[in-house]
Amino acid sequence: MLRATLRSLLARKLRLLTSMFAIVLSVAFLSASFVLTETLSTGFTRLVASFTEGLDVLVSPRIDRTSAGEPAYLDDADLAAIRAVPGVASVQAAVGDHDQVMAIGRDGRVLLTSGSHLVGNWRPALPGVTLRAGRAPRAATEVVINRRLATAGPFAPGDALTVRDRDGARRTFTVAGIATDDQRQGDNSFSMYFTDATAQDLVFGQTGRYQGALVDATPGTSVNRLSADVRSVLGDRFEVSTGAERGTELLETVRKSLDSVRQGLLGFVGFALFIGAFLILNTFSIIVAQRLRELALLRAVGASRCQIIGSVLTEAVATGLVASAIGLAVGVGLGRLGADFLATRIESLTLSGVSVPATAVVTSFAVGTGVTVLAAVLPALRASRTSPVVAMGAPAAPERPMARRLVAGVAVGACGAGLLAYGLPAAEDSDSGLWWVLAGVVAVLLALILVMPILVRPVTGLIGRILAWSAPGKLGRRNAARQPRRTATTASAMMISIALITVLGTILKSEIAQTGQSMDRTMRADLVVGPERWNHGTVRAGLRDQIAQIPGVASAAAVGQVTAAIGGRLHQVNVVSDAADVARAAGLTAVAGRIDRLGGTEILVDQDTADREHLRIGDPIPIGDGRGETHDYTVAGILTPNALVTGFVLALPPVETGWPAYARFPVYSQLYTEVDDGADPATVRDAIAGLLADEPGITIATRQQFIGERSGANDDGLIVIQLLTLLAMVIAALGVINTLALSVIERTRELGLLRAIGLRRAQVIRMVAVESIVISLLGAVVGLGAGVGLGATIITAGMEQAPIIIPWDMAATYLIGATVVGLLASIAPAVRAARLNVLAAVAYE
Amino acid sequence: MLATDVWKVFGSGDTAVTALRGVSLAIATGAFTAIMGPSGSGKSTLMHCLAGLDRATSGEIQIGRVRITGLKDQGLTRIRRDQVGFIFQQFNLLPTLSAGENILLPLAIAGRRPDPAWYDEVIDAVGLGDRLRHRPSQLSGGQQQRVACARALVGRPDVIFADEPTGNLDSAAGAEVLGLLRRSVREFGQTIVMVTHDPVAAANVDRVVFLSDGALVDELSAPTPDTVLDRLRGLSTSGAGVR
Repeated sequence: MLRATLRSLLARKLRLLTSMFAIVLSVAFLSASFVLTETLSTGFTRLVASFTEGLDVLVSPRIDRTSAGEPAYLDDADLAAIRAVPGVASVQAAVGDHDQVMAIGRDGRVLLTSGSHLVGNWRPALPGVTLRAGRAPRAATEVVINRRLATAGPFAPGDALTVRDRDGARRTFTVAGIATDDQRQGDNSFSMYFTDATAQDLVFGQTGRYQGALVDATPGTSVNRLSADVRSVLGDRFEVSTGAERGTELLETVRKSLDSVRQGLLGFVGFALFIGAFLILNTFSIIVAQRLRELALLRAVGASRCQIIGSVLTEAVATGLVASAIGLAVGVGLGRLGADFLATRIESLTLSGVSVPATAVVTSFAVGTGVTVLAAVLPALRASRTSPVVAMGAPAAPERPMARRLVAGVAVGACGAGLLAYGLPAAEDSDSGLWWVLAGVVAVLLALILVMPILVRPVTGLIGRILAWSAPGKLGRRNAARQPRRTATTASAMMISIALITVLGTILKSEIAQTGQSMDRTMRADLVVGPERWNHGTVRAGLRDQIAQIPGVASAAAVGQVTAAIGGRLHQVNVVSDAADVARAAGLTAVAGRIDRLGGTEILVDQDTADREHLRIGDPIPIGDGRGETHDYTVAGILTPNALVTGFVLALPPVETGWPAYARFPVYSQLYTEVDDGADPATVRDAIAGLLADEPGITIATRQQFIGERSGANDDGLIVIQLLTLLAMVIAALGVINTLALSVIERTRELGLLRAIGLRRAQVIRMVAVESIVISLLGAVVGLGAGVGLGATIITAGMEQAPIIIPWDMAATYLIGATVVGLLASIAPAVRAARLNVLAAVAYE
Repeated sequence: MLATDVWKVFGSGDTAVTALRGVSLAIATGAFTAIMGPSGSGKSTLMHCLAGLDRATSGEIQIGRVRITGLKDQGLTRIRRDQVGFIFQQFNLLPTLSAGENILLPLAIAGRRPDPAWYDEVIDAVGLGDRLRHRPSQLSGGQQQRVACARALVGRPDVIFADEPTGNLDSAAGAEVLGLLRRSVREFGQTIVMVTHDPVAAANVDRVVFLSDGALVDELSAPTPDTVLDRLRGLSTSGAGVR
């Protein structure tokens, strides 16, 4: 029995290969996600080891989670105390910052780089930094630069180097030496190393401060012991750890972010598996149909139902194992490629080889084989019901009537509607509501799969009318509707994927439109200055003042963020230059209280935060400023929830209260600029853009650009959807090919007859192509209908005031895509059909 | 084996077709019996019911000591596996298995080992000793049907049902297969029931029963082609068949 099973499996390997593709694909994603994270993790482990190698004890500021704000700095007394600890060989204190002080090129403009502008103090024995030419900085006006900056200048020892400091003023230094620091800083950053005092002046505006220190132990001293001793000297203002401890901490952080990368990839895996399961189900149904006689024979010579089920499931296990193995191999390759790609974006991370964790192997085989077997259960049951009489030449039992399917479909659909109705009102606030909605969507789709065979005739009739203007076209359309069950299963893979994608698309587009519309209604700013996307750069206060003075600028309202402690937790708190300006330009409105005037001890809060923290107008809020002091604020107004300013809002400058605590403050993240009524926005924009030439990473956006970006019109969600679509189309195409190939083989005799009565080869090809396109469009049309319907339902019931945006562009893409998929899928079967020898075909059994 | 008042109705209501109308039949052990009749007379249906491939609507069928009417699928499967052998018009060999593997398939399904002496005897009888490793596609029609005969014989079933075994063969190959079947009856004492519409084939059997319109109408012992043809003519003039 096993032998018969395996033999028949081998005889159909081509067909299985196409269906295996879906499983291969999902297993490949799955294993790739493991391999990628493991390979990166191995790379990071080595990178961190190289960082912390030779580091005995590190001292760094402790971030205080309750009083927040300013970290503690080491001063000269602290350093002296550390040096006095027995076992300390040397102490190197560090000062450093990035992207605040910029190197100016010979053309007088800030030099551009894809990395950062780094400043720091020169330390003779810094790991990963080697002096290559000249000497270390000795005077306050000397600087050592890295080779990349030297090349970009170009600068040589003895040359003058101008930098722009935090206040925008220019200072000139002399290049004392050139160092390589790729090992430490990566190979696309500019580095400038000054004397301690100069570095402190540039970073803090005052001397005698350090951000951390490296402590070297004398030979024979235990680093753990030394670490404990240093800690006891410094007290709990600082984190003191050994190099090894720091390495472990760093790796922990890295692993967490790698895990989230893997979670994201698993989404793709789930999608591919879902569709893949359909394809497997479809293929096995077809194989069972093809083997009908064979199965009947086995039944006639005494094989029990269990043996038949076992036979089909054995096929599934074999298929699943092979597919998993291939998928794993592909996944290892993909994972390595992905890791390489990510590694190029992470400075100084190099990978060697590829790591395949055991979990990747186990999960790949378990998931790949498990899904294949699960998908084969239904066809196996069907196979076991084959009547042995079929072996005697009797026709197979006619298809059972569809009434039961309709009943089941309606029942499941009703369940889905119920789940949606129950889940939707709660979906925005709770996770459980979201799960109910998800279950509802799945149930509705299942119902559609159940009633799909009933939809085949009417829908293909409709689609066919558009396509089938010729005799071959009509034949193709009829053929598509000939076996509604098989056509339905084939189209279901396409239907499900397009429905899911369309639901996502409809919701996403409606959300984008909702945000965009409300911003467009309320926001008054004509131009917005801020960091480039993905860049956490900041706008200097000086820049704001310069922009405000440009003729034609009515107001330049600035919003920035500081860290503050509220209610024992750290919050990013908004600081505004002028409450009235910001409220008007950013289009903020009040739910309660006033938001246009903000006193020195008044605070605004948005409604969501107010609800969460149980705050009302007039409530006192104590805020920790980071120096260990607490200030009493009062809630003055409550903001309508909006996309631009969320959480708490303070006024600037609250000088009298001791704010701001941060050395770098004031800096802003966004400038909302209004243009005078009479002024030309384009002229003003050009004037501002001129100022920004010296501010790398800061760009200016027009109102429309800004709204588009903020409302997520270019959002990643849409990119993910496009990728999913591509995936779904490929998988669906394979399904259609499978079905068509079988139809052509089954109808060999009929095709011969048609050829005999004069159907030309080209007409045969057209007939098969029409059948293919009709099947594939059937899936697309029903999927689109279901997707838009579900999407609209979810928006209407679950999202307040959102407009329903039907993604027509996506719909058009899918219909065209489905047509192309149908056409491509028909090529091989159509050619086969056209090549038939007429006489042989007519005699074909 | 014994059949008593077997009825078979396909479909229900308006579209009901009665294929068998109360057929009663006893088949002697160790005899070669043919069922004949015009197309649509119900001979194939009768055989399907006798063999446990299909279920009779009413009546009783007994193979050996087992009443197969009323058996559930599992019981019927066991009957087919252990007590019944089949020979089909279309040979019905698995194309992916060799001739030898096809012959042993029913035993493999049942998880039984072949009795080597009996296996050799069967192979010897069908005369395919040198072809066992060939695939069905490499064999002629007559050879394929002999493989099918060996497959039926090797399990030593109580009864072998042959459905138009010569229908797809030329006369020489057909004669060979019929000779083989007759020898199995004589030499091995195998009970065989054959459905055929070929009077020449029917002339090889011990007893012919005639079916018309779903009922037994006649029978003939020690038939010759001429006597069989006479009876068949009688059936068609009585208006039942189209033949």
